[in-house]
Amino acid sequence: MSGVLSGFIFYSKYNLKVSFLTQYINFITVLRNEIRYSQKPLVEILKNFRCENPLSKYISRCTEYLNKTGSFKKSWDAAFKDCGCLGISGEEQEIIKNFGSTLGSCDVSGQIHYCDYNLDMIKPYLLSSKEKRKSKGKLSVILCVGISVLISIVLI
Amino acid sequence: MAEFNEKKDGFDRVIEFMNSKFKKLLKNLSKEKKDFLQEIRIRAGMPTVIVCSNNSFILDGSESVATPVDIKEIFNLLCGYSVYSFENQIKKGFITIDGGHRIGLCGEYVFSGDKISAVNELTSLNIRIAREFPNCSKDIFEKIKNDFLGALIVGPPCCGKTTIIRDLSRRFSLSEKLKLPKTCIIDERLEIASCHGGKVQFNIGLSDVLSGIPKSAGIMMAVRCMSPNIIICDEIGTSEEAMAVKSALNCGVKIIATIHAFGLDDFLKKPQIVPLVNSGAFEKIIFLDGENFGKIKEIYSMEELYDKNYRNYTFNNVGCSERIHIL
Repeated sequence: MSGVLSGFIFYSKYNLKVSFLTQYINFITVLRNEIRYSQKPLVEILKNFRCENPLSKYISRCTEYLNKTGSFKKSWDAAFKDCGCLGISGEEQEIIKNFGSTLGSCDVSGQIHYCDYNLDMIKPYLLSSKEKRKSKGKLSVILCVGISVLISIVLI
Repeated sequence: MAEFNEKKDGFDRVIEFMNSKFKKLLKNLSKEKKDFLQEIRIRAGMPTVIVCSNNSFILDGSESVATPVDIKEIFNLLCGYSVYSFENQIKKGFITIDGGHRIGLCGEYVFSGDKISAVNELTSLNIRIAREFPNCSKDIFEKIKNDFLGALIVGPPCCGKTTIIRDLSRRFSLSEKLKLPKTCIIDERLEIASCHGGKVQFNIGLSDVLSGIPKSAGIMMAVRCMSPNIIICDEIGTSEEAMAVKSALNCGVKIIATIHAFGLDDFLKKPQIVPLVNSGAFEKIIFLDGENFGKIKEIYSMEELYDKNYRNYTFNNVGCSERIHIL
């Protein structure tokens, strides 16, 4: 049983990363469109953005911190620290953190370029993590189930 | 109307947009200063100055000296961390925040061709606190309501012109004696009605509001779409606006507008008044007393203005239907 469980834990780790990155890309796309077409303030966009966990937790934390810190960059970073286990690596974290420091600081065309640049940077990571989930995720489940079956046979 | 009574005072609202250092500094002001506060002038490397209705004061202590970081922080807070949503206003040198408070911006402006493309390194902010004074336009309303054919309100800066036309819009739109005239406000700089989040922030009665639109385009749009009886707008003066005013007049719409001037002498020297006066839209020219808020200094009818033959200006003494010529 524990072998099967550990297999699924490994798989969910890969799944969490894919899910977070997919939602993050959706968020940037929505943000880009809102900035381009409605020019709504960031706080309003964040409040109205509807998504599922783990991104929803991150966005709501960021909105909470905005009222306390008085700085978007600080709130973005603080929310990132709070939601530590997003399943993403150091490089991906840096890209997302840097995006927070430039958000809301310039005109519409600048913001659109920042969004596009960030999307271009993060998309390859999503593709590779999808591939990893496909190969390594399934492999870990099979291996763990196999090992646990082997151990149970040996014990019997 | 309860909603308007519950609204925060202008000072309290503005305080929310300050960084922690300035929040603390301004909260320590005496009640009298808070009540009469009109402007907060924050300059990089210089002590902060507050302008009250009767006097100006330099705030004491090293804490009142703003650093460039303070100015940047306050600016970001004023923009709601979303500079892009104020892009067009910033290019005109100001932003208007929730509550109708206007912030003038000074800094290094970057031009692309003959247009402003960006603002670098802000050096000073002038925060003008908008306040509502119900019934401040009572005298003006009483004078113009009966034979109302359009009015131009003239006064020096900070004498309450915007506050008066806001109150006038409320009075006209709610006047049952005048059969609830359809009143439309062209709020180019979001100061008159200050719409935010789909709600007006001030009591403007039953007026319709076109926000953020240039006055000339807004007047034409209102005439076409809203069939107004009265159009109200602030700080009018360009030739396009005069053309729009004339078109509105031809459609039977009455105009109430304001213009900056320190008195009749100063008013007549302004070149931008020629097309406005020529449009024939303003039956009454109301001069405000700069020292007493909401008080009328002088009222001229167009005929009186023509008759005045003032200094080096020559008028055709032919009545308001004819054009005047200013040499």
